[in-house]
Amino acid sequence: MLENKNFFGGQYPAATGRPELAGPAEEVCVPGYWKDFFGTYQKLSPQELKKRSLDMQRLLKENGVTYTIYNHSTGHQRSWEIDTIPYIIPEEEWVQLTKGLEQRAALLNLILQDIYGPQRLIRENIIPAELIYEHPGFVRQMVGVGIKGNSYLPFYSADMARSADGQFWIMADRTQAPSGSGYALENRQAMSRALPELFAGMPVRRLSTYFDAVYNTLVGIAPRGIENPRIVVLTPGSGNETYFEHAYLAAFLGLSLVEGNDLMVKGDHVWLKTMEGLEKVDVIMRRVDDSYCDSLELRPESLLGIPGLLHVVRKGNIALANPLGSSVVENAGLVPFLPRIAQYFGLGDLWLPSIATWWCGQEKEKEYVLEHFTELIIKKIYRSGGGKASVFDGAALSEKEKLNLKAAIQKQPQLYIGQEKVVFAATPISENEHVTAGHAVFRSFLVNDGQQVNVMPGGLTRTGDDKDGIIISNQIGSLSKDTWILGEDAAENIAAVQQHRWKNTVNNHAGTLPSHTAETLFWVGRYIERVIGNARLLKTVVQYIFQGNRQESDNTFTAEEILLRALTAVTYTHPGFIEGEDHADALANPWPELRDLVLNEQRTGSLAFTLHQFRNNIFSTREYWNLDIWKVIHQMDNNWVKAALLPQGDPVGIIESIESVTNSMYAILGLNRESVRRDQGWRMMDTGRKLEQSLNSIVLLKSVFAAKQEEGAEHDLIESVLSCNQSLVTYRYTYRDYLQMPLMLDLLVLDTENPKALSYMIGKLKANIQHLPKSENNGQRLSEQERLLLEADTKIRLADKYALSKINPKTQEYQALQTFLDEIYDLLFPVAELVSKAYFKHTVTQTQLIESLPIL
Amino acid sequence: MKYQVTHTTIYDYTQPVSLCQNIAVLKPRETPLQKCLAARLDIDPLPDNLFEYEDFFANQVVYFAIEHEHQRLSVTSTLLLENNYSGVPATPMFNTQPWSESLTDNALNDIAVRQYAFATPITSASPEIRDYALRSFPQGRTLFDGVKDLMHRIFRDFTFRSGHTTIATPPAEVMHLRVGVCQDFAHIALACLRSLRIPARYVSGYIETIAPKGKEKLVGADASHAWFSVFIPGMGWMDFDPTNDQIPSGQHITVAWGRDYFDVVPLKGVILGSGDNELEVLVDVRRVK
Repeated sequence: MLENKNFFGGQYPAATGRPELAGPAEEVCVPGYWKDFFGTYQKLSPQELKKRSLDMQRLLKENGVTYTIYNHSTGHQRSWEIDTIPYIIPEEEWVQLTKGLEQRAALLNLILQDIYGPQRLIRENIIPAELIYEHPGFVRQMVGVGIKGNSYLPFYSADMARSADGQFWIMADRTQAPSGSGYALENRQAMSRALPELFAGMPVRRLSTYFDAVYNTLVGIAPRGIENPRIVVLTPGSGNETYFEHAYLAAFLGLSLVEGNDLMVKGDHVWLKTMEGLEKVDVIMRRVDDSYCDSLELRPESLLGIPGLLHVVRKGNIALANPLGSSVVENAGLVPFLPRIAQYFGLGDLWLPSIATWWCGQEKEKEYVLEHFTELIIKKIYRSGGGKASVFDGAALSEKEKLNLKAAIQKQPQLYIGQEKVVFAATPISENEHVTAGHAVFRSFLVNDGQQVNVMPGGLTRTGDDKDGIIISNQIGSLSKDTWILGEDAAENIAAVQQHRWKNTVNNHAGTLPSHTAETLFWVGRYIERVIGNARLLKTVVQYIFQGNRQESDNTFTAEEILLRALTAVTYTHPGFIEGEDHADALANPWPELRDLVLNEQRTGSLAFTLHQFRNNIFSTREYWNLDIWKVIHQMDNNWVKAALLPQGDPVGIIESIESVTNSMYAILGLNRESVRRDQGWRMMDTGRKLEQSLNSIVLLKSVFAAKQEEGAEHDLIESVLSCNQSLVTYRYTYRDYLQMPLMLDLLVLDTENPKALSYMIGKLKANIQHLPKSENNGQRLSEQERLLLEADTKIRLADKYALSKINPKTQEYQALQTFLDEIYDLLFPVAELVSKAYFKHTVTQTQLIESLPIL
Repeated sequence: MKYQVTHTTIYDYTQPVSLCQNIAVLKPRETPLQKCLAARLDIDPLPDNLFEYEDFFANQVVYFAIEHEHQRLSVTSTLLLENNYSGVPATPMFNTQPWSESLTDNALNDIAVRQYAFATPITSASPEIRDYALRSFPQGRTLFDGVKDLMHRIFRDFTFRSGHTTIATPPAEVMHLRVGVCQDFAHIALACLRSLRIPARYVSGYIETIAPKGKEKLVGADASHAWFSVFIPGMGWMDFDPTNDQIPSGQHITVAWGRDYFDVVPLKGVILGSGDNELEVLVDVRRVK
C-alpha cells in the first residue's frame, strides 16, 4: 500500500513498539479496515480535517462534556478532547474479545458470590485470604446478605490494550462504579456529526443496544415483586470528576439524578424526598464509592450516602448496581490466581490472558519482584484514594522513590504485585495535520442482568503519548478516541430490547421533583434575576456617567452620585459609594470601583461573582436543561473571558460585556419558557425569579428616591430607573406624558399588567405558591407564605400613586414611599425562608453519635 | 459467679431531632466461660423500627430507629450473667512450642482465626511499635509467655489517664505519648501482635470494680471496658487485660469482639438535625446471689 506509506510519511517514532499497521517483516502491511478508513480519511485536506476537529471539540463543549480534574489550579472542569481517527476493532477480533470479556464478567461475579457467601475459595486455599480480608473493598456487612438472582456485578468494565503481537490484554478491572459509557456515547455522537463521511462504507456498530440493556438490567434487579421500580442515579454531586456523565446517563435513561441527602431511610425502605413528600426507591444506580454509602455502618464522616442503607439492604428492599462490596474484585492481587479460580468454577481456560503478575504476599514472588524491580510495573492491589498513585513504573522512579516503595513492599508485601511490562502496539493518532503513532487503552462496558451479559459494541479509548503507554488515566490528561467495532447489529435484538423497555418506562414517576433539585432551581431563578438586575443597573450607571452628565449640574448631590450609591445598595457591596474613608474618592473617580464591581470574581455582589454562583447552580441541575441552553452558556463564557482582558477605562467595552451577559440571560429565559413544562420545577424557578426581581426593585426604588431632587436631576433619575427596569418605552407609550413620580410608581409598582411591576410579580408569586404541593394537615388554611403574599398584594392594590409621591415638606423626603416600600420588603423577605422550610427540608445536617470512651 | 449489669446512655439534644438511627452492640455473646441468663434493652422514646441480627463476627447487634421528633434519647441495657472461670490455667500446660513455630500451626490456617492477624487502620504498626513488640518475643519463648510479657510491659510503660487520647488517636501517637485508656492499650497490644502476624482480637465488655475498703460502692461508677484476646494453638482464644495486667479470671464480662473498637462500638448513631448533644453514660456492675 504505497499511498499509505506516503501518507504516514515515516511519522512513527522508532522506539514505540511495532505499530498495529506494520506486519511482521517490517514492510508496511495495512489491515483491510485501516485501508478502507484511510481511503476516505485522505480525501479530506489537512485544513478540512483541522476544521472538522474543531467542530467536534465545539460539539462536545456545547454539550457540556467535561471532566473535572482534582487539585487543578482553577478547580474547574476541563473539556474533553477527541481525535479525528477512531480506534478500530475488526469483527473477528471483537467476537473473540467479547467471549473473553463475558467470561471475565461471569468469573468476577462468581468470585463475589463466593466471597460474600460460603468463602470456599479461601477455605479451600484457592486464593489467599489476605487478598480479600486486607482489601478495603471487602464490606464485611455484606457477607451472608444475599443478592437477588446472584447479580453481584451488574456493571463491569475492563481496561485493555493490544500488545505488539496483536493480542489484547486486560490491564485492570473496574467493578466499583465503572464510568465512561456516557463519554463513549458523546464521542460517537460528536464524531458522527462532524465527520459523517468517515462512517460511509464502514459497518460501525451502534451503541444504543447497550443502554437499553442497562435500563433493563436496572429494572430486572429490583427487589422481588416490584414490576415498575423507581430507579435513581446516586451521584456524589457536581464536584465529582465524572458528574457530567451521571447527569447525562440519568437524562438519557429517564431516571432521577439524586445526591445522598435527597434520600433517606425510614422503616425498612429507602425514600426519595420530593416536593410532594416521600417516594419509595427500589433501585439505586450507584456512582458513590461503597465505603461512602452509609455513614451509620461504613465511613462515619461521609455525607454522600444514606445512613441506614445497609439495614434496607439486609431487608432485601433495595437493589444497588453495583451492590456494596463489589470493589473487592477490583483487585490486582487476584490476577495471578484467576486461571485457577476459573478452573475451580468450571469455566475452563481464560479466553483473555492476564499479564504475567507476581503477588508479593508469597516469599518467592516477592523476591522476584524486588530483584526485577526496574523491569516491572508495581501496583498496589487496590486503588488508593485521594489521588495518590497506586501504579508505578519501576524504571521511572527516582532512587528515593524506589527505596520508599521497596520499604513499603517489605512492610506489607501482601498489598503489592509486580507485573510484566508489555510492549504495546502503536495506533494511528492525528497530530498537527500528521498521523503519528500513539498508544491506546480501551475500556469496554458490560452489563449483566444475572441471566445474560451484554457487551457495549464500542467503548472508550484514551491515548497517551507517554513512551511506554503504561499508566494512562484521564486524571493525568490524555486524548480520547471514538471506538469502532466493525460488524452488523443483530436487528431482532434491537427490536426486542426496545419493546421490553417501552413496557417498563410507562409511568416511571417522571414528574416528581427531588427537593434538592427544587431548591437549586429556586436559586437558579434567583441568580438569573440577580445577574440581570445587577447588570442592567451597572450598564445604566456606566452609560449615564459616560454620557458626561456630570458636568451639567453643579449640585453636589447629583443624580450621578445617587445612582452610584444605589448601585452599592442594590449589589450589597458596602462600603462602596456609600460610606467608608474612600467613598468620596470613589464618587469623584468611580471607574476603578465600577470595574471591580463588574469583573472581580472574588468580591461578593460583583457581576462576576453572581455569574459564578449562577453557573454553579445551573451546573448542578445539569440534567434539567436542554442542549440549546448549554450552548448559550458556553457562548456567554467565551465572551466573558474577553471582558477580563479589557484595558482600564474602556466604558464601551464594559458596556458591551455587560450587555452580552444580559442577552445570554434573556436567551436562557426564552429557551426555558418555550421548552419547559409548567411543572413544579418551572414554578420553583419562577418563584425564585419573581422574589429576586421584587426585592431588587424595592431596594432600587428605595435608594434612588429617598428625597426630592431638583427638576433636572429627578428627571434623570426617573429615566434611569425606568430604563433599568426596561419600562421606559412602555412609559412613553402608555402615558404619553413627561416623566413624573406618580406615573412612574403607577407603572413600576401598581400596574397589574406590566411584568416589571411589583403588583404583577407578587401576583405571579401568589399563583406559583398556590400550585405547589401543600402539607396535608394544613387543610384549607393559608400557609404563612401565602398569608404574607396576600397582605403584600392587598397593600399594593390599596395604594394610591399620588399619596405615595407626597413629600414631607420639612425634610423634602419621599416619606410615604419609603415607609410603603419598607412594609412590602418586610412582607416579602421572609417568603424565601418559608418556602425553603416547606420544600427543602433535606438541608438538615447529619450528626454522628458515638458513645464515650470506656474509661477504665 | 452471677452478675447484673446496667448500662444507660442518655443523649440530650439542644434542638429537636426528627430522625435517629442507631446500632447497639450491647447484648453479650455466649462464651464457653460465660452464660447470659437474661438481657433486656429499654429504649426511650420507643423506637419506630427495631431489628436484631448477628454481625460478621457473630456478635448480637440491634439496629433501631426513632422516626419522630424527640429531644432526648435514653438506651438502657440490663444483663444477668453467670460465668465460671474455674479451671482456666494461668500458664499453658500443653504448648511449649517457640512462638514462631506456633504461628505455622495448622489451626491458624482457619480464616476464622487468621482474619484477626490482619492490621486495621487503628491497629497498624509503626516501626517503633514492631520493635516494641519484638522485645517480648525473643527466639524460643512460647507464644503465651510472649503475650503475657507484652501485656505486662504495656501495663508498666503506659500511664492510664483519660483525656489525652480519643477513639481516633493513631497507635503510633499513643506509643509515643505512653498514655491512654483501656481501648488505647488494647489497640497498642493488637498493633504489636499483628505486626508479628499473631491473630489477636479486640474484646469489649465490662469489669467489676471493688469499692475502697469500708466504703459503699457508688451506683453508675463503673464503665465499659476493653481488652484483647490471642489465639494460642492447642489452647484456643485467651484473654489478656493490659489495663489491669491480668488474665481475666471472673471479674470480666464479655459483650462482643471484633478487629478493633470500630467493629464493636457499644452504641453509635446518626441523627438528622443540627445543634449539639450532651451525653451521659452510667454503668453499674454488681454481684448477685
